[in-house]
Amino acid sequence: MFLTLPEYDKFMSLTWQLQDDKSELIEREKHLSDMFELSQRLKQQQASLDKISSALPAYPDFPSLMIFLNEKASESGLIVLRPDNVSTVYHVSGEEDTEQGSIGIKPIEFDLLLTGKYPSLKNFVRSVESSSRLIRISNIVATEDEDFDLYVYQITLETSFYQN
Amino acid sequence: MPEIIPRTKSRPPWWINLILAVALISLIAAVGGQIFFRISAKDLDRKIEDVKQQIVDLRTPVNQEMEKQLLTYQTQFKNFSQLLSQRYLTSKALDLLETTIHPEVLYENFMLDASEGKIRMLLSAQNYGIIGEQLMIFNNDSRLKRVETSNYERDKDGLITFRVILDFIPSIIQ
Repeated sequence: MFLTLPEYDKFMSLTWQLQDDKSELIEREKHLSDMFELSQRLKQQQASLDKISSALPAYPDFPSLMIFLNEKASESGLIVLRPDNVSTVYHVSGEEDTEQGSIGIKPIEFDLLLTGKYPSLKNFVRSVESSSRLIRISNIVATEDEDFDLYVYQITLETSFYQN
Repeated sequence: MPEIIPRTKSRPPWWINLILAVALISLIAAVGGQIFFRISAKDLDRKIEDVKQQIVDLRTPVNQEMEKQLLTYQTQFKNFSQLLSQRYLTSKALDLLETTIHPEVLYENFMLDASEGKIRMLLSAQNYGIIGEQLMIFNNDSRLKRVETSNYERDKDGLITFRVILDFIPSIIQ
């Protein structure tokens, strides 16, 4: 009895441990298989993923945004006077950062001063709203420039980027 | 001559033999059991090591990278859907402005705040009759929640200027 019991206990304990480890292995294999399947399905939807990446770029990319806005303004018949209140902060990939809230969606908000006529403004607003990058126009202030029979529009734009 | 009579051997009682036999069998069983369990435990140890190794083998850099990528996508989808739900179209507020301003009323300036659902304007008209018609249009528009007018003045060109604040229903721009 005294000889066998400790060995028996050890045997039983190892049996339970083996069962637990086997369950964990099965669970992990299933998890991996699900991930693989999901990854394959996502690869088939690459076009949609590209759209999301385009809507939410990985960094502010303010220059590209300004190029886009200048093009749209020009196509609509407006002249961009200048951007205003621009400030973008982001952390480059791989940088050690323990700051809370540094990962996720980061907003960018700035003003754009334009001049032109009302129909041009409306075309511009529609073009910006239908762009692949998610841009919101939260504010429009229109003031008359009597000297040139035009309006000066101060537009507040809000967009976001994805901080990894 | 004396006769030698051999002494009869005294035999142990039968139950002592039985106890001895049982004890012997028990000892053999205990030693056998110990050996069996020890060998089995070693075998189980080896199997556990194998399973643990298989678990470790699953965590290849490729699999870890795939998991990280999927988690990134998951967060991105969640954030994207949140952003989409908060999206609004300011052009619809401009449509509202166009359809509610009287053809004979001019705007000198306006301030559209889509996030607050508010439009502030400085309007001008030739006479109070036109302003009355303008206010009637505002009153009959179900997209508007509140209309405030103030600062009625006649400017140097003889036009009546007045300030208007329109509060519109936020759902019209979503």
